[in-house]
Amino acid sequence: MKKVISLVAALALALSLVSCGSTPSPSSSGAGSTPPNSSAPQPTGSSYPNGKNIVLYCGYSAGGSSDTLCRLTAAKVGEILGTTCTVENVTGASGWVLWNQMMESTTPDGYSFFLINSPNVTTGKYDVDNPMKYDQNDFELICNHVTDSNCMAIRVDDSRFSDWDSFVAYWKQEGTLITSASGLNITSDDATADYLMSNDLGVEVDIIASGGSSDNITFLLNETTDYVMGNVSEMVSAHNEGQYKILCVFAEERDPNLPDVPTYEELTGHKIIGCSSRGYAMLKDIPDDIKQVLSDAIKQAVQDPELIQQLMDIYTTTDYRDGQDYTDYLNEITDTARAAFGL
Amino acid sequence: MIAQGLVLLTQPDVIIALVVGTLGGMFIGAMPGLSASMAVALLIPVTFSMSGAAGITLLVAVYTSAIYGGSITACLLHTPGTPASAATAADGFALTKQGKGLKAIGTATICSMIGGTISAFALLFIAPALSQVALKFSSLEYFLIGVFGLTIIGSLAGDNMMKGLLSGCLGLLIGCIGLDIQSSAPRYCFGVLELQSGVQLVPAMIGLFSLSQVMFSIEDVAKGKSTVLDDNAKNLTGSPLLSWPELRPLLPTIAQSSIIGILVGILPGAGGDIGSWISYNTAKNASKHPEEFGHGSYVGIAASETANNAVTGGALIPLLTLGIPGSGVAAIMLGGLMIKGLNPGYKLFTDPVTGPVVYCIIIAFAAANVLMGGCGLLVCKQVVKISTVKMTILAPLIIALSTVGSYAVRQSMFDVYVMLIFGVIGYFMRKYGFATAPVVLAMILGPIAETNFRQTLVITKRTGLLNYFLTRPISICLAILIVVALFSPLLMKIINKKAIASDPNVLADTAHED
Repeated sequence: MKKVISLVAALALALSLVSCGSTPSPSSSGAGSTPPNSSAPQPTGSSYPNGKNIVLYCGYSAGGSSDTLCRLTAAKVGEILGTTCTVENVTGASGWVLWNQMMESTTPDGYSFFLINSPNVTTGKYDVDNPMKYDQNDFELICNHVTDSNCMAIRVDDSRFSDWDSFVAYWKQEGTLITSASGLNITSDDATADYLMSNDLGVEVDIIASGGSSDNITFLLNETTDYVMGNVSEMVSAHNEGQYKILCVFAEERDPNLPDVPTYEELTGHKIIGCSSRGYAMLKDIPDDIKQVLSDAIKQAVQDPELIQQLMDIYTTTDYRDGQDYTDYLNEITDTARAAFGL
Repeated sequence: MIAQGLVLLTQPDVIIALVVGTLGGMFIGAMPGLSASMAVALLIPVTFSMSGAAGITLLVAVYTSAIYGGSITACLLHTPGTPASAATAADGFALTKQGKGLKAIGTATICSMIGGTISAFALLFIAPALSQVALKFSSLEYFLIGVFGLTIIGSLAGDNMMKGLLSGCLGLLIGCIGLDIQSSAPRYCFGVLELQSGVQLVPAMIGLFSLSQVMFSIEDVAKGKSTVLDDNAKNLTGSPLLSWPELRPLLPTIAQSSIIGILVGILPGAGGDIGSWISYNTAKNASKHPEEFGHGSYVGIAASETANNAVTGGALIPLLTLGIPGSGVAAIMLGGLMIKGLNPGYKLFTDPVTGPVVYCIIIAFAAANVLMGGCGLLVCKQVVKISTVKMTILAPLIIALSTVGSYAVRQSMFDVYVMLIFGVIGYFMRKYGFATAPVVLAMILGPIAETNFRQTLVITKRTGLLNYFLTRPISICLAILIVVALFSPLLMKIINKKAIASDPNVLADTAHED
């Protein structure tokens, strides 16, 4: 009996250790950890980060593409600053649980920064049904990391149309086509691109609210929807496999992952830009010298050739922007989306 | 290609990943709150530095063994380690109380192993053909599956049907909390941002099942009872291995549940939780002794545990062949696959570089199931002794684990409060004869039914709902199934009554059968 009790007690102890590992002390994974012996340039005039752990907060759950990006970046940031940098996931309300927590209950000591992504952060304030309190201008923006352009695709075996011209002709003849997106309003980049495109072509679109990109692709393949709108990184692989055919991308230039696919502007002469982007921000009240050290490290990490290659392998295009350029970029995304919905 | 895969499997790093994944998965699965999806999510970054074969082997091994691990605590402590084992809790715990915990865990272990292994073979040999099933289902079919699933409440209701239905309604109501799918307007959130993603299933389930059980245990302690065992079952009896006469009656259930599990697994978005409930209900309907279900039925355990592990292989089928994840866990795995350069599609199986890796992963998945079964049988003799530990020691431990588990899901104190509130709700519900399982089932199925119904309305805006319905044979079959499920008990009653009325001998016969 004693043996059993001690066994159970030991088990409980081991468990609490396991769980602690994934909870209060921010080390939900070892990926971001690097021993503090890197020969990186140390900040002058300040001992920051002084070997203390830095947390990169991600508003989306572990294992997703945002989380993956954060973990790859955190590892690099830790290396550069000669300390550990770990990822914590604070999920809920499409990122807003995190951003509210950052604004309302986080100490601006420079030991935390966070992922921000458009369109969520740029349009939440203008969501008529569920308006949020903040937008990008409430944060100290650091830099943009990746931009994932919108693109649209059709089935390869669709008997009604097979290329852009026949697709548009069919749409105009029918008047309305069906597609799907993870949301129907301003907070979805897919829905925004759908409306911008249908407005431009002078046709109508019905959007099914879905659970996300893999749902959208399923809907296309089982002939529930007529076309699918998505982001390049999520769609290249199956396009190359011949599961569906991407007709155009909504970007200034062709996407490096899809060199043969024209932009919407090439096809129609009208410019429509649609994308989701991910970058980093911190709190405005962090002391200036610490801000400088942290943001330099993040900027260096984002431009690291090894990281750029790792991301290219998962069809994700690095799009480094900082300073005013980044601010303008996000504000433009807000303005485009508001225009699409007349808000 | 399969041979090359086998060669790859003998690499030391793959073997280590297989063993570590299987043992670690069992352990994680047994902990309430630490579910398969969480384990896989947290392990993905760990796989960055591993080879493709080893990394993904680790993930699939953890996936299947975590689902199995959940059944151990479900049987012993009425604390399902993962939502997929919620259907096992009632029967497993009833057996544990009777001192038959060892046989209960043995049944769960053997059935999990068989279900998982069969699904691995389905993945190995008929994946491309089966993957097409995933595409045959659209919103209307999912809506009907959701409704069909809700009819299961009838068999979970326990002794009082009305109370069971009320429990189900409560679950549906809780499932409404969160952002409206179409307009994203917050519903029943009362300005609480955390509620916008809905009430999380895992903390709610931990509260309803585990915490309420602890409260009952404390009551028992006050009454002078010291362990979970009933008074007349002071000795632990039985062996974890099933003898042939014990196993044989389970075989039809195991076969049926494997098929149900694989099919549910293939359907995107439907995971082990739904698979085990549907299988449990099917077994109950087919059983000659449905009254045993919920009170310690080995067939019930076999149905639920075979199916939830069969789901794992099923869920990997559309993931690998189409890039469409068949369950929540598989969705998380998709990221892990892409990072390793394993882009889903038929080419994945035929490409000279990725082909061997994929076959290695599939064979490793089968091996993980067998390994899990073997290890499970080895340890269960020790593990079952938990049921003899004094409740004064167990109760605080379970509370601690439940708290940590609820926190760990999203690293949020909010979820701990959810667990506590549901614990109190669960206690009073059970106290007054309301079953808690319908709440969990309705919380899982309600949102599925609602989402897909509203999607269907958009899809059929132009064609009309009825026209659309009539052109979809699967929908028609499902609709018939629902009608049968709802009215067959009533029909049976009428037929029996008529038979009895016309032939008094029948009455004698049926009485004899009982």
